[in-house]
Amino acid sequence: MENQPTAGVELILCLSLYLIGLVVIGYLGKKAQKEKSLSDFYLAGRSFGFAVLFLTLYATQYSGNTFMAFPGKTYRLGIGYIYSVAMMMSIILGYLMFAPRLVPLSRKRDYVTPTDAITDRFPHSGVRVVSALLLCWGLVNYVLAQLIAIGKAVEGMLGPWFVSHGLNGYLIAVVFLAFMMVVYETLGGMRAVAWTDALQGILLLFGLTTVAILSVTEFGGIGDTMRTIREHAPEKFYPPDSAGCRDMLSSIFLLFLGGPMYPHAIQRLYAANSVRTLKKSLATMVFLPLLSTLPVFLLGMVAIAQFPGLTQSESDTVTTLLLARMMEVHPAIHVGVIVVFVAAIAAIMSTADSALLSFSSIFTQDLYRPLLKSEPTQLHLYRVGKVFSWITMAILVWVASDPDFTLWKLLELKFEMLIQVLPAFAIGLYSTRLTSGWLLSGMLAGTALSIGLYVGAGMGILDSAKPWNIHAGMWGLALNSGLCGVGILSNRRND
Amino acid sequence: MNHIENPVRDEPRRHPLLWVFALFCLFLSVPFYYPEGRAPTMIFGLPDWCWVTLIADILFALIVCWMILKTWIASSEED
Repeated sequence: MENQPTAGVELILCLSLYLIGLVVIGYLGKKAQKEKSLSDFYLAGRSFGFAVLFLTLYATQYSGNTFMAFPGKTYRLGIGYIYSVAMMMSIILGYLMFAPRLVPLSRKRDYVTPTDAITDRFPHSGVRVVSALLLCWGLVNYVLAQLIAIGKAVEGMLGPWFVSHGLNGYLIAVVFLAFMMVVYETLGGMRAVAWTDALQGILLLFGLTTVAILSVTEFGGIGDTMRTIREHAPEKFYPPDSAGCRDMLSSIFLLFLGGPMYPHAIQRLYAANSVRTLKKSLATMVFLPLLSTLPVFLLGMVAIAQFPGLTQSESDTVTTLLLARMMEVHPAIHVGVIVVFVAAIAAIMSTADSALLSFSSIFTQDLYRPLLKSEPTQLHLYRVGKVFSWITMAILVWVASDPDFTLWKLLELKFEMLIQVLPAFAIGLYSTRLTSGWLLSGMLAGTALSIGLYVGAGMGILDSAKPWNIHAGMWGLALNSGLCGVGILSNRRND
Repeated sequence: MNHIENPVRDEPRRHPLLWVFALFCLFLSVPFYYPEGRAPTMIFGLPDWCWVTLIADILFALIVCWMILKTWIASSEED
């Protein structure tokens, strides 16, 4: 492509320095380990102060989506996608539905995974297995999406360099960066992941600020951009109609209710060294979409004006297209563009490693441990968790090596699955009248309805997976919560 | 074992009015109120309704920040 950068060697050099830094941090994380236990490996001994907790929450929440998918979606939807700022903020409000009770309990009862809290309240093997599988589904989806984003980001920026050397840039990036992630993760566990997140969070903040400045200043300002869009793509300039507005509200509520269910985010709530630290981190986090989501929204708007007529798959690469254009037009801003690129890789890796660690903890603690006849030692579980991380990553890399894999379609259902676990926390921690049976019925019925709507639309039986422009997962949650409500009303024993 | 312990002195769920305000701001971030077909007025390079969205976002963040810092009081903050 004509507007690809030629600075392949410089980019690879900067990326290599950054990766070496990650492995060093992973090693330091290993040295700081106090004991070989699940709590120390997966929650860093609940020792995070404000700086690390805030940066790890930030780097985990803002993923490859922030850099790659959000500008692409802005490109496709137009100015209406400004709602993404509210969507990302709403996740913090979602935590307030249950975190004030969950966090002190997690410390008192030594929870390691989100499922620990659920099975403490609902001691039923069905509830444990179903909630663990729903959470794992969301995590697998997340890690896979990040691996593909890594491949596409590197291919987008360095594609010509790899091609000129006869190499497959996508595959090399996915395999090599996945390998690096598992190395530092299995070295230092949550400590390594959170400390690398801190580095990645700083890069991310710096990169996004640079994106905002460059995208507005290098292409004639926001006023010129809007004028161009109004003239050449008016459908992306005017506000959405009522159906579009319902779709947006549904997206906001899907993240408001589903976002707080990310297991790796819940584990970061557990890992705070105090409630005070956690409150300060969340109170700061709620403002960050203004510095993170808003700049990438502007980037997408600039892309509409600069690259009219891209197809859907091309629109997913607008970030790299714009960075490449910036380097081409203004070689002097080379360094800024390189920083943004490394920040994009950092955003993707910080989310993928956190999700992988969380996946490994849920498998070890909630699915593997209950299968054993006798209580295993902490050392045994610690080792199993590490082995499982390697096996999982190997499988996911194999799947990610073929982005056209047909199972991808089902994995699009991420929040639809995660959101079905919400009643276990938001109702379970507050009502003694909700029983395991009703909770399990709600989760199963909600999940079945969500998948049913999605599959029905895919097979052409239904017009859309979003009846009345409301996401399948929201309909599933309505059914799920309704069943929990019936369960509470019908249970008078605990009055 | 009592699984519904209450380890907080106060929490956001006990302040429904703040939830109403916060959710109202979320609703305002979507321009469902904007008449269809009306040409937006440009203010500092952005359409008028985008400013409503951004102001609603800032108000939302301030309300949530207030809820976290002022209405979430654990039995032991340092625990």
